[in-house]
Amino acid sequence: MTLLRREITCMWRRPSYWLVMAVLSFLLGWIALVMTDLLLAQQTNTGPLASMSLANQLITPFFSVVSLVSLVLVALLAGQLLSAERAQGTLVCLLHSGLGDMRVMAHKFLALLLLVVPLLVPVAVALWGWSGAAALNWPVVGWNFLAWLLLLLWFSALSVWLSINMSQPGLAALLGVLLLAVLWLAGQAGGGAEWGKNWLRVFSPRSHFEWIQHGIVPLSSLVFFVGGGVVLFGLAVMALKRLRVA
Amino acid sequence: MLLGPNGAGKSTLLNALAGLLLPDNGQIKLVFRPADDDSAQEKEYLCQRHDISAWNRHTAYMPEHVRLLPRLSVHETVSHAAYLKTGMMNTQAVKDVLALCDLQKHAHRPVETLSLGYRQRVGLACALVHRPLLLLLDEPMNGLDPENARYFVDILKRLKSRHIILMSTHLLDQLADLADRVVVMHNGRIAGELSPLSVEHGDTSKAGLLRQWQLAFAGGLTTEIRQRIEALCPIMKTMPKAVVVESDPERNRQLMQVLGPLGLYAVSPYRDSGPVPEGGAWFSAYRHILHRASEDIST
Repeated sequence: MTLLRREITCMWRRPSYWLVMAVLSFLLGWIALVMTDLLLAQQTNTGPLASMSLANQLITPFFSVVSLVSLVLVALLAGQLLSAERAQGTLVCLLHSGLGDMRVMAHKFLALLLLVVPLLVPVAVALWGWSGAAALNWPVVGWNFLAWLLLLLWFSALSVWLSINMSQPGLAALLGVLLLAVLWLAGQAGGGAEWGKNWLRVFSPRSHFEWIQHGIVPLSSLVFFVGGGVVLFGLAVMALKRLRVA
Repeated sequence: MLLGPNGAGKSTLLNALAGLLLPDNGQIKLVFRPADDDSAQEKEYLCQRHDISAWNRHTAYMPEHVRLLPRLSVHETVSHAAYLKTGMMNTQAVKDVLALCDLQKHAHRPVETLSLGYRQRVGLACALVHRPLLLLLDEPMNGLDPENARYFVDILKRLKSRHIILMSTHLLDQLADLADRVVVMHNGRIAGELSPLSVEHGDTSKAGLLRQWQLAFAGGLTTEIRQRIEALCPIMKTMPKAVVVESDPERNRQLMQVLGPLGLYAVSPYRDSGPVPEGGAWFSAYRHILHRASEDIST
């Protein structure tokens, strides 16, 4: 049984995982339903021609909600992946393993991403429903998916790093959510400032996420998500190495 | 076999040998001659900070309290341990080690439903599954009932020919059966080495050599402690944190069992002139007594 499979098996056998997934899926489904109602009401008022752009106006805000929900899930799961192992004392098996630090962390990281995958189901259902009501602009959907994926990778790396440095899973999850909220709000705070002076936005995942959502992929956003993700993952690997030879 | 009182450094040494702690200075090197190699060439592995995973592939460590992931079955746990050590799946090795530890019947039970004895067996199976050269066991039989402890001793006896085993223990009656060498630790250093035979003889015959023993308590004497001692043997002398009793090895074992949870941390031989020797280094004294016992028997 590989480490990746172990993580997924353990999480799938936890009732709390299913409870959280059910709550989040219900939340996403509910939001999608409310948005669909809005689409149908607008179609009745403005006629079928206007509905094309309306459908696309729903996609971006919906993906923003999906992204935030999935990030909260990542923060909760990451706490269980490493901090919980420290708390239970099972981390010694990993520390005394013959696998390299990078491999251990890669398995943990992949497991975290795969555990978020079930959230794709309500997203797929919502998109399928909207595509029946109006023609969707698939490139817009693609940009939104890309923005979500990059944000997810970056935040997963951040959460894994927080988790390996904490011995309390609840605290790791809480800190992850708090950090996300601060960085997200930082992007909003810098929003009104003149370009060049709004430095807060450069450090906020929100700004980079929104640019990519609108089909703009500046180098700074790629550096932020990909470079930042790689650095945070590297820090997590180093933290594991430090724990191994304390 | 590693012997020593609490705080002697046994677990620290085992952790260092397991690669979980690196020494401030010096090196940890595993030098061995493979039994199946006629060329008799010695091989060696070095425990290095930058490549600790390579060291881990040749060693196995079983802590005193084995921690297992509760939601996995026994088979999944052992199979995962095999992967962690070698990076590969080895179904046959998992089957073999489950058979060795008599766990086939429980292979599909979640580990959270197992008793302590079976959990320790799963821990041992995890340690053995990659066929390590060096097997490190930190008081593996602590808390086990006599039946499971006996079973554990039987398994370890079978493993002696296949692995280099280093085990720490407080239980002297296991030594004669299991140990080839008995190393006594005190204050982080090796205080001496005993032959298992002398331990065995000492356990059974030293009653005639020494009758008075000093029992020292970490938290001082209480009424309960006094009552428990008096139920087993007479108290000869009382000190602020210790008593001198008239006892024998069999009764000492009972005293250790009864008084261990109440803070008993040292049992030293006692003469009228005072404790032997000073400083609570009871193992040195114990060693002296055991040697005297074995000499006495041999003459």
